[in-house]
Amino acid sequence: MSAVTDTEPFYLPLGDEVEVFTAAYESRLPVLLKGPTGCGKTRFIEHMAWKLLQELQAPANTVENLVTVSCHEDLTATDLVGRYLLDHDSTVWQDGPLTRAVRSGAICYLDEIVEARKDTTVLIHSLTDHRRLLPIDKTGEILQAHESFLLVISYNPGYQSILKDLKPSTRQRFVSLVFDYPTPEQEATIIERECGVDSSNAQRLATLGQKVRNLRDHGFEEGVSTRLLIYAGELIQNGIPERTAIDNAIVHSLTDDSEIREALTSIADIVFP
Amino acid sequence: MTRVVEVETVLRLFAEGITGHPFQIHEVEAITEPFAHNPNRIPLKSSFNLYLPEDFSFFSSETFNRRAYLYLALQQLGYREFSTFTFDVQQARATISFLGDRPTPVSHLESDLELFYQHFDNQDLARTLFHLIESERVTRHLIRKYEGAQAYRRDFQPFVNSLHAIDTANLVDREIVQLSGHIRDVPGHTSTLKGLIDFALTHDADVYDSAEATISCYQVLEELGTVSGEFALDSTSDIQISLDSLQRQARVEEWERELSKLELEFEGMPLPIDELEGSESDVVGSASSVEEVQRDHIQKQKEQLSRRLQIEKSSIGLSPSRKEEVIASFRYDEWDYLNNKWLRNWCLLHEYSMNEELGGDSASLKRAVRPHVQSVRKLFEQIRPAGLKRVRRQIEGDELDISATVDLRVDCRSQVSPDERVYSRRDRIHRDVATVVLVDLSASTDSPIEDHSNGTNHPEDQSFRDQDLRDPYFDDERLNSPFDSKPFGPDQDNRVRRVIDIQREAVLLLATSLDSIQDMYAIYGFSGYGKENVEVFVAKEFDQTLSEHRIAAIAAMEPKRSTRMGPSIRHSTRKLLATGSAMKVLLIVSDGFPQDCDYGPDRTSHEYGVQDTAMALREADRKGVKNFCVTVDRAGHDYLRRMYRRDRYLVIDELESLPIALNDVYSYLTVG
Repeated sequence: MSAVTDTEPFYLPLGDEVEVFTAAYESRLPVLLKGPTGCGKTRFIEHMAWKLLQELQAPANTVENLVTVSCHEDLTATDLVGRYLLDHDSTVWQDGPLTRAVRSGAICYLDEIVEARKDTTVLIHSLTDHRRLLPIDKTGEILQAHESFLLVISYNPGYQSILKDLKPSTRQRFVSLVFDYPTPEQEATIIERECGVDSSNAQRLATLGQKVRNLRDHGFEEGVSTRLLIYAGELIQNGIPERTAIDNAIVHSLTDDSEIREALTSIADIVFP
Repeated sequence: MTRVVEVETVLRLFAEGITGHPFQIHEVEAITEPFAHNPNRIPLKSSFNLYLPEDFSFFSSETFNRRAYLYLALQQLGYREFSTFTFDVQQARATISFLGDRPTPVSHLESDLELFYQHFDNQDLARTLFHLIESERVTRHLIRKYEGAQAYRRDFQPFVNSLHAIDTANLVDREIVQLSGHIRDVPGHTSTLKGLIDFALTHDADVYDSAEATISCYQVLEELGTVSGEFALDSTSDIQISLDSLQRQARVEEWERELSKLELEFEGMPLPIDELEGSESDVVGSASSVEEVQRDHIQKQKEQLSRRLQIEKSSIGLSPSRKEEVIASFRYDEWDYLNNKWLRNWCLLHEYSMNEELGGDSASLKRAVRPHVQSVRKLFEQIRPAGLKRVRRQIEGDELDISATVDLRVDCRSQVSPDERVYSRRDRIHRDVATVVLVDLSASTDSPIEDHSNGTNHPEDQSFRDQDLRDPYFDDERLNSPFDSKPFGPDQDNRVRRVIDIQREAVLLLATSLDSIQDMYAIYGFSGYGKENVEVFVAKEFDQTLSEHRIAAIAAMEPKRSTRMGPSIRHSTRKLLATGSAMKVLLIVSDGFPQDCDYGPDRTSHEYGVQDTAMALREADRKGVKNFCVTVDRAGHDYLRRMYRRDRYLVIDELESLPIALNDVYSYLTVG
């Protein structure tokens, strides 16, 4: 759950995603964000939620404008909708994050939706067509979504098992925004802005990120995230020597395989003086 | 001393990281020796290649020797990145008057760099100068782009210095040594030619600047005489390869990449109706559709490019005209039970893709399998998962578990610490199974069924040992076409059924059944000859559907050479682990014991191969891969029990029962 923050979450647009998302929100079209881990999908949605709250006609009394749920393989529809909890001598209904967002008119962001159990798609379907309804079996309620509510899901096509995929019937209910890692120049700007490291080191970190991503088929399917590059930058900014920072924030975080580690170290050796 | 094989993996990853393309590492000799003389050193297809010395021992420290390998690899990567290989002799002739004034060299089978050298009377001198200047241009570009490369160069410098200690009386050689030493910062070296090449070493210099600098230096040195050969191919020629060879190799790689793209495009195009269950006559239909025209167009492009490749490759002696495509190569350890130790990176396994162009008779195969498809599918559908199951006493769930809730209240009132697992949840019972079907494609699977079943060619018979079916050289006729085995028997229409025929039918039947229960599976054949040439043939990968192409690939499985089981099992295990499935199954379909020409010191003993295979199976077991061997060798009990657990192998008496047996085994493994 994300409350409104005072400062705008930094996001560097890589294309026309801000305009497309804004247009989709105006018509309350559900949005699907596709892209690899750590490429900025979550930051994008945080940025957009903040921006929309500031610029559009979001409800004035909104205390949370973004509800984020990180999906995992045990996440069920109940986890999203809600459940009865035990009280002293009774049971009490507790809304789940999706129900809360539907009631309050927040953006609900289901991160890595393919990880969740398939029964969650039933909820998604009724919320993403013209009805915008959320049926709650346990209470017998059928909730009409708040006018500001928007469902956003993310999906990582290249991640993990080839069996995990979004069904076409689900996929075709969303406007899709495709994300990828930024170009080295863009990534250098992001790194510099996020951790304050000097531009030459930011550029080198971005180059290193690009090279390491070339090895994504060798045990770390997703390559290195911009997030890890920023961590390395943070360490450098806090006085840790560059190569030590890279070893700790990137190389050891990515792999335990000695040969891959040696190759990554050699690539870092080449990129950093 | 550091051997290239010890750093091969690191170098491959390093090169792929820097460039984004997969690379294979070869010894320098591989590109200079024709395939016919050295079949185990085929530069590989479908990937880029780096050529490095077999070993490097200049430095006493292994770390420095390893860094030297990285530096040499980086230099070769630099040639690609900084456009050495895009040198076009026509463009050079158009812009450099020295070249334009001379007649055009005629040979179209040479690299453009070789054609450039042919403009000079003294080609050795031109080649030496160009190599020297171009390699330095590229190195400087590398250092500008990758600042850390400077440290690698510094570490490598003592080796460079040692090469420049050559004292020669030949004037031209001396000038080259001085020039090379000067631009490579070797102490005490200076050259009168340095002013002629400085422009080729600047930040915006390209390969044509190197060519111009070469001409300038050449014109000065030509007056002095000829190169002696003592220093003819640049100071590091003993550890590096000539640029023109690399350029031709790069061209082949470029064409192969284009061909792969076309094949992918072709593979992705919609196919006519699935024939397996329907009638074959339906396939020929609206031939004039847009898709058909596109398919034809791509097919023609593929054929043209393929022909160009064949011509180029045969002219540079890189490869025999085999039809399977190498996808990738891998090194695997081998267990030496005699010395009780691991032989690290001992075997080189090449993974080949099989395709319909190999000429398998898929129509006959489908005809043979069709009568059994429905019945076996029905059997398999019984192992399909049975929906949802309610699991009680969970921390989280969709409903309160009344019984657990009552217990909790009782505990609370009794002032006993309660169990908080008060929910129940509906869990889907789903199958998360990945299977590799590994099919033995040794030469002995060419045996007719009759012979095979009456034991006349049993592998451990004396007669068999005298004329070993697994040895590709046992029969001269077959030796002539080792990759194009023909049906064994009197003629095509009335041919004798062979072991391989039954194996293929069994595999296809199993594949259709697995499709029906939506389990993931891959189908590989394995063979090879020698530890440097273990072959795994991919008929179907996990993420491919059982399309017409895949059926054709299964139909194209043919007897090949030996049976080095250990690396093939290790490779299958690796692929299974990569699926991330909860249950991993390796099903081996074999017709005999493991054997290869160098599988152990004594070729007449199979114990070494048996022990290595047993070790590979134990490794697979430890990694969570259930394995099972089905063999059609009646004497299989003798050696199978030394490799497999009792409940992990099955010896089939009647070959014809293999398809059904395979299905039974699968059910047993994944349900039982």
